[in-house]
Amino acid sequence: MKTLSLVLTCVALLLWARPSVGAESAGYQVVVHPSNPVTSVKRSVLSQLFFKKSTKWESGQTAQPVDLAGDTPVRAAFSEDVLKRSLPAVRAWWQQRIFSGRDVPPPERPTEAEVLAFVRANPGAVGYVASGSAPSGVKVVTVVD
Amino acid sequence: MSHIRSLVLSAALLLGGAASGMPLEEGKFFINGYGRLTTGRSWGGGNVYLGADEDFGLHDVGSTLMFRALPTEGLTLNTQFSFEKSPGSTRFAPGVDYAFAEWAFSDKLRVRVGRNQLPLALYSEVYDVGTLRPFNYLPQGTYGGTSIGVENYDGAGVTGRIGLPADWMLEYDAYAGFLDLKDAASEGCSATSLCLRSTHALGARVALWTPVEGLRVTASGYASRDPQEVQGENLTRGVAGLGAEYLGEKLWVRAEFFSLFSEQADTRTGYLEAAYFLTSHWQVAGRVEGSRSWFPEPMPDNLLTLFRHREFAAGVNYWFNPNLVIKLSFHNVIGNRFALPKPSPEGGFVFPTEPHTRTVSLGTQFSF
Repeated sequence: MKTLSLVLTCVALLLWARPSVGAESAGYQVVVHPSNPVTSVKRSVLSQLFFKKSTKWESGQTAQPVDLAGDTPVRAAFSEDVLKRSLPAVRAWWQQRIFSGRDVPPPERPTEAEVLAFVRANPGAVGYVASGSAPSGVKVVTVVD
Repeated sequence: MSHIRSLVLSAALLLGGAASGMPLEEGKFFINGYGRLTTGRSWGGGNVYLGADEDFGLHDVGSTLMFRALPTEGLTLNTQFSFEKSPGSTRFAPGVDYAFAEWAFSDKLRVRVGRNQLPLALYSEVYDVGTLRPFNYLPQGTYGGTSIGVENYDGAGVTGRIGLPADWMLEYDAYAGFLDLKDAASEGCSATSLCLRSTHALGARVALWTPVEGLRVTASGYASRDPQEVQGENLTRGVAGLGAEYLGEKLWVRAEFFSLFSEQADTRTGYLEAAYFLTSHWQVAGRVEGSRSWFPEPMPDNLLTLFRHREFAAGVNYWFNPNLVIKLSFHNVIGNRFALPKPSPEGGFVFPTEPHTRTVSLGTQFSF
């Protein structure tokens, strides 16, 4: 029992001492297919689409949200601002949905170029990329509260 | 009726097998899984709680794979296989947890057929997924060796979600089929083993998602009837309960209360569980729980402890990420409803029993 306690204490101290990983904040812009009639979208509507609580645009078109893969600053910013959740909390939400057999998360694309390609290829698609660029072949929409 | 049940399960498995061979587009086939490894030790007259006795050892080991295919728009095929050694068991056993086909007519109406996850309470659908809870084990009064929370049913169900004004959302489930209830009192069971009782069941759940992200309340229950007659009657039982959970950034809170009504005994059980992230990795957790059964006939005083359970548990967890965690917890238990006394060589328990049990549980769980 003594040995076990000692091992557990050491492991706990080691883990506590692990350096935390920081993430710099970044801006993002939300993009949709050019044929999508929306020019602005409510934050709550966008959040529901990315959590798949609703699966259609107001026009009746099936929504196809797409995420940036990994823990990029752009994704973190989108997650905090629009979904009002950190990335780990979003992942925990999707674990619950996956393992309860309810749903699967939106597809992920490794680069912004691939996110834009997905949006261009799918009329119901919605994604996000870093702000500042002027992506072609997609429509940038304003997010309102 | 058992052949209908086998047929439904076989058909769902065949569909799943066929789908896994289809040339599916990217984003149309998913593989997920999870696993667990738990050890522990109990103190208190040789009582066994959460599979832990007086010796440290691997008490609960298991891994699960889940396949999800979307071969055509609207159709989803889910299968989940597990390979596990449960608390109290001495061998590994493979099993089909789920195998069902779901057809989505719309968000508001989806039909499921096969072996389905049971939409009951907060945890039944994610029964063994350790990365979705703060303790190695679920509250025993609701999800342990009782006829309340089980993992799946064979049959058909409908489910759907309805958006409500002001960002509220209602998710509903209704189902009918065959339910295997955990029942220590089934014919042929020894005092210390857990047996299954096959029943016909009809049930429903409604979950209300509030505009507060992470907060939902549920009401769920079922009515079941044994197919076999006992003394000219088919035993029936009803289960009904309420639950609420808040899964925030740092704070998780869950509370549930369930009642089980039957001719044999009535049971009430409830728990309150809270967990808090001190840092992004360290989490502390606490739980209080109570469960009690009442019988039509008075029971001798020395047997009452076998039908009562009160527990306080505290734990500390280290989350490497949301998919991998190590958990250490201490459980202080009064009553022998789930902290089972030492079995006697002749069968039954050694009396007088020791009602007080303390258990330490150490485990790791992962998912992907």
